[in-house]
Amino acid sequence: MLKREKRYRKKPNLAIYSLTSCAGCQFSLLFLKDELVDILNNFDVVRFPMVQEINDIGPFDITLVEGSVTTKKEIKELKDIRKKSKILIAFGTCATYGGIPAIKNFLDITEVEEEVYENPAVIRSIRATGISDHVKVDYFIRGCPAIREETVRILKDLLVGKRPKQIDVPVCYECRAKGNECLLQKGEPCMGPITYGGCDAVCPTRGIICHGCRGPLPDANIAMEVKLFREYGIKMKDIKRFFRMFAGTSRFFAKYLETKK
Amino acid sequence: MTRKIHLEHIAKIEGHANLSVKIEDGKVKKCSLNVVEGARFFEAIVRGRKYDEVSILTSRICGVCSVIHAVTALNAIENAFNVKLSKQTRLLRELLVLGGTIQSHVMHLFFLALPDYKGYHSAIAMAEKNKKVISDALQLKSLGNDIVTIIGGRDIHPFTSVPGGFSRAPTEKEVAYLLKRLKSSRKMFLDAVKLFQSLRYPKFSRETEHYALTPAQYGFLGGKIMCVGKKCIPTFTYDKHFQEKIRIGSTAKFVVEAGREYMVGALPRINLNYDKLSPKVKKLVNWKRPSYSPYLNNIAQAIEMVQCAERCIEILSNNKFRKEKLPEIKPKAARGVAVNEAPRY
Repeated sequence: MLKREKRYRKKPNLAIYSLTSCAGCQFSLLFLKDELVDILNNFDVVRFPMVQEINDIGPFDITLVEGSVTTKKEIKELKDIRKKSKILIAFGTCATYGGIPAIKNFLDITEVEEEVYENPAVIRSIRATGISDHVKVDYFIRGCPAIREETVRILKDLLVGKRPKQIDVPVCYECRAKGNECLLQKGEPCMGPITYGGCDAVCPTRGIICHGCRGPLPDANIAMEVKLFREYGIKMKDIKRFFRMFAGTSRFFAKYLETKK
Repeated sequence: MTRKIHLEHIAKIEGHANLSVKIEDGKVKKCSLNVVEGARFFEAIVRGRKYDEVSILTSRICGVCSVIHAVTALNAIENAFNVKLSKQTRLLRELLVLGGTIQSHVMHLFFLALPDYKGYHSAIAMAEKNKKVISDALQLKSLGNDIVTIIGGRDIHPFTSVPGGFSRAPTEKEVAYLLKRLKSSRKMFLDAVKLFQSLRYPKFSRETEHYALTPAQYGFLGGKIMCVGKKCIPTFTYDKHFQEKIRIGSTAKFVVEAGREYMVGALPRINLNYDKLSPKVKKLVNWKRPSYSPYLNNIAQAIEMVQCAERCIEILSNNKFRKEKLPEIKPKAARGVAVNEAPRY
């Protein structure tokens, strides 16, 4: 409590912004059970347009930004958000890496636009990225959707003046602790070994391979993973497709994926 | 005198939209709603993907109703490859979609709509003076989430449903837990109907084309595409009837049938499928059908939640679930179509 008094004289205010996204990360906040009440008691949620009418324009102590940047207007908005936020958090995989909207970065953009819009002139879409391509980001909450335990932990840490720690173990760490049968050893292309843990290995625990929604760890042995996939008879183009699902823009994949601008 | 109203970023909706209204001499001359969020190009990014990756992508179309976007992609792929689904898979898919519908309806009714009718700026602000209502809302929301989590693996973007079936089946303990939660929530669902029936709605009715699917029993999966008072549209050639239109300033497309806009959602579903509602639920529908007041959609959603909960209880009480082997899938070049009902606001 003492530390909190030191850091915040009154309740810190919290703002939620949403760029191009499915809104799932914002929803994950509302899907909290008892912790939602804790958050409401300890923070002034001054901006959350999806669920409230009255929304402040800043300045903010802590800002969560959901979604990827896909328009020039969003870059401008994001820079403004950065200016008025003491702590800026990328909220979810879209805000961290560009997420699923960034798959288009690896495709022929004219083909992509013409497939969807008869008249692509109405769309002013730019290369989809996470928010850290445009502004300094203080913390990242990864996951598609964001893992709510992680969101709560980071908010609580900030509340008491503690520096939130980044999870630095792969999905396999939690998966093995649960005693799950290893899907990778069974010959399935599981991304568990190279992906940020913290999700309680939710997919492999239920028999589904990790698709890497939390992005690659900085010290992941991606070369080894690629080698193993190749040994399983998976073609390089299919491996690239795997990597380009959630976090294709990560620089740790760059060596394996050439980027079309 | 001309007045212009321009609202940037309407609050309490999912997504980003602007509203502009032009008023001349007290009469509304022009009113337009533009969806301004960035384009995500789902139709293009699923191209070239392996068949079992498509539902993972389409799920991300919407974080509120992710279930139906995932399930519909699975159905389309299964239809293209002629995959026969087991009875258990069909029931689990139905449960998943019922849970997803409860999730979405609770969200819309209590968190997006209700505060406006009660004069509060948010559901959170309502909580102090309306403790029971908000506590009920939170419980119903967590019930919807529990159904989707237990059947689908996670409450947002569920993933255990794959082409041909499920990667796991709910355990006996999980089924018993859901049944207990559903049965003890019956009164809360009925209270929700009463609450939304008691609100004061503007008197407004304008004949609209109401479209809904008409599956054999009240539900959200498959069936023929029907419109009140019109002949049915075959699913396989749906795209000959429904066209997507682009409007400058809006990234979302507008869909028209024979050049006309139409409505889908809870009210059209009840208008078209009233006979299939369970007898208890029928009694809750207290308006003359078909009704065209868009405000009734809220009551229709509340009523649908009762129907969903009762159907969940029916499925969970009458069936035993066990882990099933997935059918073999032979991918081939083919066209597959699936049409399902999204919960819709």
